[in-house]
Amino acid sequence: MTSPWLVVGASPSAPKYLGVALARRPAAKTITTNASIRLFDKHRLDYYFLSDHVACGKHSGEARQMQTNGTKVITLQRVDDALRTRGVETADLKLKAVGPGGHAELVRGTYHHAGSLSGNWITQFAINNGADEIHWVGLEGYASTDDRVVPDHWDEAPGPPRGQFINHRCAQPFLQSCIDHCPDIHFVFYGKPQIQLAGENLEMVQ
Amino acid sequence: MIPIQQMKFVSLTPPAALVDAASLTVAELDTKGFDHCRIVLWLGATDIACSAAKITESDTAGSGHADVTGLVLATSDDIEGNTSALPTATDDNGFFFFDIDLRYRKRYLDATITVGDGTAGGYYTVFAVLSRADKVPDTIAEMGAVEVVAV
Repeated sequence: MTSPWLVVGASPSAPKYLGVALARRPAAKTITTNASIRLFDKHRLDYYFLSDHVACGKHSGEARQMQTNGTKVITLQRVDDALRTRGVETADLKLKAVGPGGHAELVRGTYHHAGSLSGNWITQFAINNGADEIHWVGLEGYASTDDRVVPDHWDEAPGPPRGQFINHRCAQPFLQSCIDHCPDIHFVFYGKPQIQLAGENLEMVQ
Repeated sequence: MIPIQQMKFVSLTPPAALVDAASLTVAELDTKGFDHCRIVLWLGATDIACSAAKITESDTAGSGHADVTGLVLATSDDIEGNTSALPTATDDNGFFFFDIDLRYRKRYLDATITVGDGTAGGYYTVFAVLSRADKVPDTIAEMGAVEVVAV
């Protein structure tokens, strides 16, 4: 019996491929983060990760609302007043992050500060919770650069100016390490990535 | 004698905007007239670790700074004998103290605090508490404040 997970980020193709992935794996567990909570008004959302303080300012109210529908909200463990400031003090799960910052490599069974990217956190959660099939939706990375900031999210929010640097420093190494360290997991990547990924256990859907 | 009332507070990095993938702008501290200093790094909301946090010293204002051995986070031991740690991405609202016996140090101190490359960054402030003064501060201005009330 497989344990598929849909790990959903916020890149521009997320709305399109969420439908494709759900059609393929309708019983998959679902996890998303930040603005992509709004993609789940019609679909079941099992887990919602919210930690980035900017995103908390925008989405903590929606997170609490989703909790009333059964969604489990996940954040990172911080001191109590910091959780209250972010509005996530009622989160169902508070992950204890370990390791130095910027450690962009999966350490299975732990939650590493993998470059502070929310997409990396939700991937870690799926892996650490028994996924044997992971569908990466909306995790294509950033197209923005210092010279040219473009809409890098499905809601047309701009990417960070150092988007491509973040891709190569944090996103690509981490996702590739997941592929490398988890040969028992089948990864399905939806969309056109801004990063290079490869592996026998990786399937690309474009 | 109330010890705290004999100390001078100095703002080195006032609370300001988010900092991400950069070093804080920290004012140099002139410690003349004092024998002890505590430099405080105070984090606000943060989503990224610091890659460096250390104190430097110099005899010359504005130049010639070198690291103070024992005041380099992640290299130096803390007061409990463990290797000290840099601020992490979940150390919101935390204090990091650098305690300095100024009798054995150069006159000018500075702090190098470098924030890692995150997506949002964090809020940081740095200030110094100077104590064991040659001449005890006894005015509001000498304490480094705009206003002081006491009961």
